[in-house]
Amino acid sequence: MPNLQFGVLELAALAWLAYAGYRLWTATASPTARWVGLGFVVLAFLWLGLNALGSRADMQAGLGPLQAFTRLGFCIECQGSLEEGRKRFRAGWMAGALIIQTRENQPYALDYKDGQVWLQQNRLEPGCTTGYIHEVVTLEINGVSDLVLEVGPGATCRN
Amino acid sequence: MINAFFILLWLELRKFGWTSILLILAVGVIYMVASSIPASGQGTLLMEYIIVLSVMLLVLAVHILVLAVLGWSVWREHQSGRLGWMLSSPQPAWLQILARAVFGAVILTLFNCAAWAILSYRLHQAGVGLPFELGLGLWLYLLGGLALVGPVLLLSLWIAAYNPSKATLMAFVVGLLGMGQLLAWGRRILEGHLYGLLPPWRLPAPTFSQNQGGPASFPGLPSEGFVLLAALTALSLYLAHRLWQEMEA
Repeated sequence: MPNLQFGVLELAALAWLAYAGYRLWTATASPTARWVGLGFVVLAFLWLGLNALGSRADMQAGLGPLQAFTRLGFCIECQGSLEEGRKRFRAGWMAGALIIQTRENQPYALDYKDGQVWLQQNRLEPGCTTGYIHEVVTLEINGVSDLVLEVGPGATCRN
Repeated sequence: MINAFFILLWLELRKFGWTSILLILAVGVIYMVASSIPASGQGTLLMEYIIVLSVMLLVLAVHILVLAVLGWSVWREHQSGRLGWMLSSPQPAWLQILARAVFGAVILTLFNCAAWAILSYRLHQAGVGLPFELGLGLWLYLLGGLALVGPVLLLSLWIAAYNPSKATLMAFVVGLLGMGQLLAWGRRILEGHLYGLLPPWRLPAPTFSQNQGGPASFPGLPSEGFVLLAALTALSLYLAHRLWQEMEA
C-alpha cells in the first residue's frame, strides 16, 4: 500500500482497539449492546486506518500560495479548494472574518452579492474587486451572501 | 400513559436540581460577557467576533455539562439499582426513553433561548447583521435538542449494559470515538453520494427582507445535514429503546 504510515502509536491503538472489540463483544448479556460495540469499534478502526493512509499530506497541500488561512465567525455552505495553484474559497452566506497570510505579493479577486466587506478598513463594493494582497490581511465580512474569493496567480472573479 | 409520562418528567426534574442552578448562573455570565460587546461604531468587527466566540464556547461547555449529567444519571441509576426498580415498573421502555429525551431537549431549548436572545440583542445593538431567527433555524436543525440528547441516551445505556463486567471505561472511550466517527462518516457519505438526490428544500431559517439592517438574502440552511441528524437521532433512540428492553429482560 502506498503512503502507509504506521507508527508505534498507531499500532498500539490498533492493538488496544482489537482487545476492546473482544471485550465489548463478550462482556455483556445484551445482543444490541454487542452489535453497537462492534459497530463503534469498526468505525474507530476505519478512522485510524485512513489516518495512516496519508490523509496528513492532504491537509498540508490545501493552502497553495497562502501561508495561513483562518476563518472566524459563522459560515454556511463554505468550501475551500485549490485550483491550478490558486486558493479558492466559496461561502453561501457568512458573517465573520478571514485572516489571510501570503508568501509574497499575490493577486486576489473577490466577488459577493449582498452585505458588507471591509479589507483593512476599506469598504469593498458588492460585485467584483481585484487587487494584491501582501503579508497578513484581514477581511471583515458582515452578513454576505454568495462570496467567492480567489488568491494566487491568475485569480479571477467567476461564480 | 400521559400521567406516567409526566411523573417520569417530574422525577427527572428532581434529579436535575443543582444543575439547574448552574444553568441560571451560566445565563448570568453570558449576559455579562455579551454586555462587553462595544456599541455600534466603537469597536472592530473582529473584536465583536472574539466576544461572540467566547459566548459560544460557554454555551458549548453548558451543553456538554447538561448532556453529561443526563447520561450520568441514567448510568448511576443502573449502578445503584434504581433503574432496576424503574425497570420492574410496568411503564414500557419507549415511554422511559421518551420522557428522558423530552426532558433533556426542553432544558437545552430553554437555555439556548435565553443565550440566543441575549446575544442577538447585544449584536443587534452593535449593528451587526446576524439574522435574528437564525437561532431558531439552527435549533430546528438539531431537532430541538433531540439530536444531542438521543446519542447521549444511547451511549449511557450502552455503557450501562457493561456494568457488572468492569468494561465500562472501555465502552465509554470506544463509544465516544464511534459516535464521532458516525457523524464524520455520515457527513462524508451524504456529501459524496446523497447530496444530488436531496430536494432543494430548505429549513425555515428565513429570508430577512423585513428585518432592518439584516442581510437581504440569507439563503437558509442546507437540508442534507438535517436529514443526516434526523436519521442518526431516530437510530439512537431506537437502539436506546432496544437496550432498555434487553436490560429489563
